[in-house]
This record gives sequence, structure tokens and C-alpha cells, in this order.
Amino acid sequence: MELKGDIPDSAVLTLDRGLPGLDAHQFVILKPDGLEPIVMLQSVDNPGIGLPAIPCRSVIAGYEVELDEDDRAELAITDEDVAPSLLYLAVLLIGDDSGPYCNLAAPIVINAANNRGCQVTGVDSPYSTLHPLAEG
Amino acid sequence: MLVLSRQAGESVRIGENIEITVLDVRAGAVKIGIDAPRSVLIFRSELEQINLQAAAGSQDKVQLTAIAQKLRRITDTP
Repeated sequence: MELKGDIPDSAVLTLDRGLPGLDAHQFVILKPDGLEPIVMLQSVDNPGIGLPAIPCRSVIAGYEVELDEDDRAELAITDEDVAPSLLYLAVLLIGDDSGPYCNLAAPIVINAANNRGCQVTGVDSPYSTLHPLAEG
Repeated sequence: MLVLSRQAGESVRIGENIEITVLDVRAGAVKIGIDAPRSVLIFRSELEQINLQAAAGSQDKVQLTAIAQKLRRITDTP
């Protein structure tokens, strides 16, 4: 996915802690034509990196994730009131013969109130890292 | 690879400020606790591979479009 034109600063998400395996810390969310409900987390500091993802709540209604102290600090969450501004994205894997899958165990959480984000890696999740999608 | 035997309740220190404690061992699974500075990103190793695989798939517009179509069909089905 290529970025076209200037990106307004207000659209740039900062993931200070980064994502395991990927050398990128700043992203924008792109919604390419025809890919809905899939979005593309496109890095702006390392343009070769893009991650397809899907809103967790489009997979499981009422999806929630436990955030630990470090996650809350990354997202600059000071109280519970910001919960409505949190976006949960599950990284999407195309898979080979089996699949596709999405990672509901370690979602990328975006705080829309301040455009900070992190991948939740430190909790024991009830969900799978390889949750089957679009079965049947 | 350094190999150390530890029992539940015992720990290993890595450098100045990382400590790994074995909390529980049962049924083939080890529960560990990790104390580390916040700047150290801690994650299950497989997560790295999952992110890399997902990123590799970002170029495959054909497959992604097919998956998106399937997902929309599921959502549209009452």
C-alpha cells in the first residue's frame, strides 16, 4: 500500500513501544476501496510496512481486552472514561491453505482521544492469536 | 543458550533490572513472572512471527479483497 499526498499530523498514530518484529512506530489507518471491514495500518516512518487489520468488535461483539499498567501508560489513559475512544484492531493473517486468521489475543489498541497506540502483549488473553475468520 | 534449572518460587536475574520468576509449574506449562522496566517490550515469541506474516500479506490485494468480501457476506447474512 502506498501513501499518496501529504498526511495531516492529526492522522498519525504513535506507537512508542513499537510492534514485535516490525521496525515502525508511526502509522496511519487507511481504508482502501473494496477492503471494508479490513483496514490497513500503514507505517509512515517505515513506508515498506503495512499491516492488514480488522476491528475486533466486528469479529466478536462486545470484545474487550484487559490493559495492564504499562499499556495504560502507553495509551496515556488516566481514567476509565476514555474507554469509548479506544479502538481495538486485530492483526489479520491471510494464511496459506487454512485461514484467514486474526490475532484477538494481542490486539493493537488505539486511543482516538490522543492518537496513541500499543499492541497489548502482556496479558493472558481468553482469545486466540490465530482466531479463524470467514469460516464456511 | 544458557540453561538453568529453577523451581517454583525461584528466579533468574538478567542484567541490572530484569528478573524472571518461576511462579508455577504444572501440566506441562510453566507460569513465569517478569519484572522489567517499562521500556522493555515483553511478548510471547510467536507474536513476532504473526506480525511479520501479517505484514507480508499486506501486499496481496487479491486475497485481502476476497477475504473482505467473505466477511461482508457473513455480516450481511441475517
